[in-house]
Amino acid sequence: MLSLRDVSVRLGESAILDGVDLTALPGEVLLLAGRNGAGKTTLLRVAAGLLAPDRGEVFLGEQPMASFRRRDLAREIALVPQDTTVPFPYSVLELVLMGRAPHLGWLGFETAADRVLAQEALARLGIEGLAERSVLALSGGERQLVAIARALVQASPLLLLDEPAAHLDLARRVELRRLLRELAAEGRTVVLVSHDLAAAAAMADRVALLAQGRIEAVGAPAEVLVPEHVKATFGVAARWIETEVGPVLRPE
Amino acid sequence: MSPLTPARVTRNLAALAATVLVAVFAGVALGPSGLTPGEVAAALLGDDASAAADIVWRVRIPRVALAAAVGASLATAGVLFQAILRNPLADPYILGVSGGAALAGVAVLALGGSFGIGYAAVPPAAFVGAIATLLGLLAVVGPTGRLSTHTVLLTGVVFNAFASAIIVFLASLSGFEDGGSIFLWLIGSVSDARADVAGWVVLFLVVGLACALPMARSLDLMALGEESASALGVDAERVKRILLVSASLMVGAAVAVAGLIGFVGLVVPHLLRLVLGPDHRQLVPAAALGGAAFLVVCDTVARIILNGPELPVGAVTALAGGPFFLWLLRRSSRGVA
Repeated sequence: MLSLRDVSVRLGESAILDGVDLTALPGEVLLLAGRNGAGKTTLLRVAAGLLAPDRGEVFLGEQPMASFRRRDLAREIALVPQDTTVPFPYSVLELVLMGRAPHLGWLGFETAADRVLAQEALARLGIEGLAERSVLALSGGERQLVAIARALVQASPLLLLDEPAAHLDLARRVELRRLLRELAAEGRTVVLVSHDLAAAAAMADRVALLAQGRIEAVGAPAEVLVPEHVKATFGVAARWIETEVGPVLRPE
Repeated sequence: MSPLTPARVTRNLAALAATVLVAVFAGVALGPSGLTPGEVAAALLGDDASAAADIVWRVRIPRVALAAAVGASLATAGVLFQAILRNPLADPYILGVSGGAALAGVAVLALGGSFGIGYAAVPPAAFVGAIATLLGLLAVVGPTGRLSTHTVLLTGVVFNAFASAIIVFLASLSGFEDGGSIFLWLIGSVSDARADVAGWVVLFLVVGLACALPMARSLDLMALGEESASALGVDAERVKRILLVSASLMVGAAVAVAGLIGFVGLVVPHLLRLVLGPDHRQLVPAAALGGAAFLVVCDTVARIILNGPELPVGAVTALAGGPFFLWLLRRSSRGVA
C-alpha cells in the first residue's frame, strides 16, 4: 500500500502539490487525471521516491519511504516515465533486462532465468517479435511498450506509469488496459497518469482528479467523473453521453 | 545484439588485448630510423649496447606506452561523457573539455615562468581547466542534463575557438611564439614522452577505470535518463559526480602530456558499439583497450607516413576522425546512430 499524507512540493514561490492525501491499494488501478501542469507527474515522482516532498510524508505499507535505500525501493516500485528515448543502440531484450538491475549485483550478469522473465514480459505486451531489434529503430509507441516490459521484469508490487498510452494506437490501448487489469488482479498496485477519461471510466477502480496541486475529487469513476468535478478540474463543461462503444464524455 | 554473458565479454576483451599487443609491437618495430626487425628483436631481447637498443628502449617504447595510456584515457573518458550526458557525440575534444585543459596548461606555462612555476604545475592546472570547462558546460545546459546534439556542437565549437585564441594569445604574450611547442599543444602529439608527467596519465587512467568499472552497469541505466536510473536503484547524482570528475581527470592528464588530440573519444567508442554493442560492462574496458590500440596505430602512422619528418598524432586522428564525425552526425540526424 502506498500512501501520501499531506504532501506538498514547492518550486520557488508556487506550490506544485499542496496538501495531497492519497492512498493506492494492492489490487487496484488508480488513475490520476488533471489539466497540464496540475502536478500529476510531480505526484508520480513523489510516489516513486524520486522527489522528497517539502512537507508531508509518503509511506510504503507502514514504513516511511525516506527510510528505504534506493536499491531496496527499486524492488518495491517500478516507474514507466514519459520520456522513453535511449541514445544508444541497445537491443529491445537488452533494454528490458535492465529492469532486473535492482535484483542483481552491480557487476552481476543476467542469468538464463532473467532472460526468460524478459521474454515473458515482451510476450505479455505482444512485442516478442521485437526482442532483437535496436531500440533506435522503434517507434514512440513501441518504445513505450518496451519501457512497460522493463517495468514488469522489475517485479515490484507497485507500478507507476506516466501516460503509458500516449503514443499507442487504439488496439494497443485496449491491450494495455487489459494488461493493467491483469496486473491489479495479481495483487499489484497500479497507478497511472492518463488524459483518457473514457478509458479511466472503463478500467480504473478509482480516479483522482488533480487541480492546481490539490486533489479535487477521488473515488470510483462514476462518482468522480461527474460534470461538477470535471468542470472544476478542467474548466470545461461536459457531460456523459451513451454511445454504441460505451459512455463518452462530450464537452458542451 | 543478444545480451551479454561473462564468457563473451572475456572473449571480446581478450581479442582487444591481443590487438593492443600487435599494435604495440608494430609501434616498437616501425619508425623513421629504419631499424630492421632483426635489430629491434635483438634490442628487445637484451642486446642493450647497440644504437638500436637506445632507439628502442629510450625513444620508441616510452612513446608507444604514452600513446597507449593517452589513447586509453581519451576513449574511456569519451564513453563516460557519452553515457552520462546521454549523447553519443560527447567526446572530450568536441565538448571543449580538452580545450579547457589545454588552455589552463598553457596559461600556467606562459604566465607561471615568472613565478618560478615549471612544467610540473601543468597537469594540476589541466585538471582544473577540464573540470571548470565541464562545470561551465553543465551550467549552460541546465539541470535537465540532457544535451541536445546542437548544444554539444555549438558550445564545443565556440569554446574550442575561444580557447585556441587565448592559447595563441598567451603564447605570443609570453614570448614562446617560436611556434613548435604551441603548435604541438594545439594539434596534439606524444613525441615528448616525459616520464615525470606521463606518470600522471597512467595514474589517472588506473584511478578512472577503478571508479568506472564497478559503475559500468549504472551507466547503462543512466542512458535511460537520470529519473529512470534512480527508479532502478542507481544513486544517479553520485555516479554522475564521481564519473564526470574521473573523466575530467583522465582528460586533464592526457592533455597535459599530449596536448589536444581530437576524436579518439568519439571514434573508438562508436566503432566498439557497432561491433560489440553498447553494454557498458563491456564497453568501458573495451574502450580503454581500443583507445590504446587506436592511438598507438595512429602515432605509428604519424611517424612513418612522411618517410622522414613526422606528423603530430593529432593530425592523424583528426584526418581519420573528421569525416567519421560527419558520417555519425548524418546518421544521428536520421535517427539511426
